Amino acid sequence: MGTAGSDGSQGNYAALTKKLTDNIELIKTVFKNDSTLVTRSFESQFEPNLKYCIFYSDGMVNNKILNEDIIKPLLEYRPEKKESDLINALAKQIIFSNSVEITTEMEKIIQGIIYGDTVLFTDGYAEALILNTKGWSIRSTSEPENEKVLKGPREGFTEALLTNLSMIRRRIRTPELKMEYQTFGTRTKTQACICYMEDLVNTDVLEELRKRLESFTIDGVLDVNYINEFIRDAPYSPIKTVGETERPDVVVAKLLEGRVALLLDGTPVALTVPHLFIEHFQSDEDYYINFYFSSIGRILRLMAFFVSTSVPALYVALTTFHQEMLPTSLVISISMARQGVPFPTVVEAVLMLVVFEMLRESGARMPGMMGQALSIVGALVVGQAAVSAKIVSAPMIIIVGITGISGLMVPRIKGASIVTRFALLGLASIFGFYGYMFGFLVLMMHLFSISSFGIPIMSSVYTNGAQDRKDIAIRAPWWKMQKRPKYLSPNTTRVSVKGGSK
Amino acid sequence: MKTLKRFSVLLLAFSLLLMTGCWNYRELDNLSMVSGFAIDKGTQGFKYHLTIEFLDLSKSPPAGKLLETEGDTIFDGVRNALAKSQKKLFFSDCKVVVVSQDIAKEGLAPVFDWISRDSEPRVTINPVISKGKTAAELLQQKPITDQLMAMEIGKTISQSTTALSEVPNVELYQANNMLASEGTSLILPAAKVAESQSGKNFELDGTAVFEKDKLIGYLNREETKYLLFIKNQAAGGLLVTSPDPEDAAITLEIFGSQTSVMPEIKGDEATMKIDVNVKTSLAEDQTAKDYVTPDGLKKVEKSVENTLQTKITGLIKKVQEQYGSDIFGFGDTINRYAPDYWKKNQSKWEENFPKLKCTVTAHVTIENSATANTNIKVG
Repeated sequence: MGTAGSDGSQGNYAALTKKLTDNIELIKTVFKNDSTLVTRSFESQFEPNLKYCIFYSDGMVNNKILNEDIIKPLLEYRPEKKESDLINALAKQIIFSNSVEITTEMEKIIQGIIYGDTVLFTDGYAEALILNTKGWSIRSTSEPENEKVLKGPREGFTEALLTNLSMIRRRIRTPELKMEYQTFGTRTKTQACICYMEDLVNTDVLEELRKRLESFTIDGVLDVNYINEFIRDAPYSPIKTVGETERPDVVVAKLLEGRVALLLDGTPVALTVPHLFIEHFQSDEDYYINFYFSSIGRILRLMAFFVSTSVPALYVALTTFHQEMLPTSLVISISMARQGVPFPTVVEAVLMLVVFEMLRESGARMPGMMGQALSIVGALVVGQAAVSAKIVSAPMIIIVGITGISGLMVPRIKGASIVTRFALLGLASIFGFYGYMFGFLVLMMHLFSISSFGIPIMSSVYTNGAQDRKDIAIRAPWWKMQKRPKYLSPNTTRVSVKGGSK
Repeated sequence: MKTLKRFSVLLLAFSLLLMTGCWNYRELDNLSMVSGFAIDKGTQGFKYHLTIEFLDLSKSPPAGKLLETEGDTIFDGVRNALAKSQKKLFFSDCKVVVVSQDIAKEGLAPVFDWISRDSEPRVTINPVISKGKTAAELLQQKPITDQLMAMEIGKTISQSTTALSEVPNVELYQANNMLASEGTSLILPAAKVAESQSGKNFELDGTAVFEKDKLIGYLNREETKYLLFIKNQAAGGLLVTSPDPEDAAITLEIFGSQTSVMPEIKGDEATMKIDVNVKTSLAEDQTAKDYVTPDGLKKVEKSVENTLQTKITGLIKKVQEQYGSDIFGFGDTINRYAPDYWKKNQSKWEENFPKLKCTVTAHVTIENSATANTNIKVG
């Protein structure tokens, strides 16, 4: 991985010298044209010979710490006798900082300045002190917009890696939770962290993840998806093989099931592997509410996927190929509604589905206060007016409405639904039910053929053993889900109930 | 190797396209939905005259419209309709085929062939025999409750099984089965145009009786009811009786009936034992006496049992003497319970059936008297 990629900006720097002015020049040359570099030279109030200079990046440091815990003690420092090893004394006795590193390596110094540390040079010494003064403003934690729950924790990840890790650590207070740092991006040097439970993790998955993370270099990573697309299985498939979440409670739940999580600095999204197909339909809320309701929700979500992918295709197949399969009264009302509509049914369907996707996309992208305008245009113009102007038939509006709503019910599989929906619609419009069944079988074959980090993504469907099936379409009560799925974790005991199983 | 594998998978996948049978892309609005059609004898040199009722979508609300066409065969006639209408006729929602007496007398098998063979019309179509001059006159009437006359006829026939039981509900596949069977003769519902005070109306009118596939006569609606009792198809309907011949009538509503027909073979002689079990409720009592007492109800039951026995026996006798066609399916019953006897006598069944002896027993139970336990007392 690109900690020392040849493409990086680091080169061979001149070595530090004992002369302060030389060192200042050296740093200034490296950061030439960088206006955010702040250079502050000062000397002790009592010993004018003690000359210091600090460098930091403006906006990246906590000014209060810098002023009170670093500059102040240095200004007031009065050595009683000539200190033989001033640098060590500064580090150990004078400076109030939780992390001090003595170094002569230019590379480390530059990294420190860039990432919010303050670098202190002292006249007469070729060593520099890297002091932790990181303090930039970050977004406060809030509930993730995409994964809202009615009941359950409302905390969401932020863009700061350390904050995110603290949210996970707060939830798992055992040393078995391992967090390994890794750096991505030859130019951005973005920090990432791999989290797993040492005694639960499937080591094959962990090794595979490590191997894949080392298999590529990229200049910058701004979001986990940059990494996701490098490491995922079935890279061309619209089906997710790596999970994504913004919720720490979800990450913790996955860690406890033996999965591995990857968090990246600068993004509130965490990756989890392996990712099974059923995870698209599992909501964290399922585990926080009564198991009857969560099972109903789960079944509805599974149905919604079927509906949103299949309904337009089935409608087109039924009305243009297999009219005999429709009840008589339905045939009458559909053919009445279609009187005077100029386009073939399939054109109508594609047209309306595209319009729906446009409405959805604009709803997601536009500023919140324009929502009303969108709903008026969407409901009135596209819906009612199009029907009364005989551009589309009323049943088609219903079909597209059902399709759209059920598609929004499972937002995690949105992308795959849209691709599948249009593929099935195309096949159904050419070959009728035969085409639909053909497409559906291809989809099934595809789903059953791909795996995520060595675990087939449909494992939960064909697994053996009752325990592994208690969290699929039906979420069993917690006291019934006693084992972890064995394909996820070698250590399967999850729940034990006193006095044997209920 | 991999390319070969991929190629063969693709080849297999696409070869499936050749095996899909009959399908085609057609928009719903380019089809004329046929609700029913009537078959008469042709006039202009053609063999058949078809009157096809289809859904006219240009009107709102849509109503039925008739299209007349002629052809040498049924399909020929249907295709000739394309010379008059731009939209293709679509038969999947066709409910009824009305056949005129004249055609039925000549034989139904040729008429049913296309309807049974073609992929569009369903095998659940109701064939109806028109007792009037033409078959078309039934479709020319105004429907009373439906938008389409053919739908009205079809629904009336299928509804009649549960509440009227005076018309046989025979669907095309059942008719074909009866035609094919040696031990059951074909019956079909008959209908006519009836005059009433407000004008002309379509009306179901009993049963058309066939010998092989040729129409030989009719049973009226009352006779049909007893026919349905024998065929164990009287699921509903009414039994009207008067226990005291001097007094007014009592109406029993049939809640369920179970008929067992068993052959009894003695040497060369077969006797049919017909046992009718009917569950009823006392639904209307116009008499002055109060019959809702244990003894009274017994009396009513007895009277109905007698009526049933005599009527059923009379019907069998009438069919045996007048038509000689085994519309009750006695031959099939014998085949089922005494296959050896049937094999011996199968060839002679046509002459044996009129001589077949039948004993009829009836058991009627009155289970309740609806929401009243006495009749209206006139003070």
